[in-house]
Amino acid sequence: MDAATTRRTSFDLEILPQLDLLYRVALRYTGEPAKAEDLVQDTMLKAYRAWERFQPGTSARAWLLAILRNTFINLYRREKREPVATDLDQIETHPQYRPSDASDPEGEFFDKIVDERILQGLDTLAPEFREVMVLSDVEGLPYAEIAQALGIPIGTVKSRLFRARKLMQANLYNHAVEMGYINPRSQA
Amino acid sequence: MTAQVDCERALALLVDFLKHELPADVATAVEQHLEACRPCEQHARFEAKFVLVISQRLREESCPARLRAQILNALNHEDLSG
Repeated sequence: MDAATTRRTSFDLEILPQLDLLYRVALRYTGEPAKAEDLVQDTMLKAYRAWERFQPGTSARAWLLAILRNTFINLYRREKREPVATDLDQIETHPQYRPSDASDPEGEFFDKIVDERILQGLDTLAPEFREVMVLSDVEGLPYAEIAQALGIPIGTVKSRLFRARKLMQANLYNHAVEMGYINPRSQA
Repeated sequence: MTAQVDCERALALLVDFLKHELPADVATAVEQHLEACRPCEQHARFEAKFVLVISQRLREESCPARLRAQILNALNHEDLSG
């Protein structure tokens, strides 16, 4: 095998198994399949051109997700500049909901909520919270890989994940109450 | 040798515990607390349920075959031109 073939083979082995993950994360970033497809294709080409910079033995998916994220920011966020949430990680969230108070302590109401409504809840999160929740709770990545993919410290991953979960749980809980899936807890 | 875990500590460690990111001895201490403390155990079950629902329900899409083929084509093209 010549060098080019070896290069392509190692890329295919490490990266192609990540395509489903990459596509789902792209969908959560862009919100629509057509844009997600463009984003995945751009990301894959960039990754292939930069393949020499990947360090064997490190996480290929974290490396790939970092490229996806940068590509997304460059492609789509340039147009609609969102205000920079400088102290996002200092914002105190006060979800009303505490699971231990609920009439459904083990969260069986989650089973009644349709997928689209769960996605909708995810979309209401600030992008910085949403991406952590997607990588951790949807895709099951460990902290270290999330930190690498997003370029933030592990402590920040943890605090964002904690807040994302509380916000998401409060959102779904309120929906479940509105739909009559559970009784609102009595005010003690 | 790990100190016992109280409710406050157990809840603080819960996210790491459920992600299997605690050292074995700390995880065991959390587990022992959860076995002995019903409110904390319920809380843990709620969190675990939430993550299970999120991971099962939002991970159904996969990369469309057409896109996969397009990408492979593009990579082949890179190989030829590069």
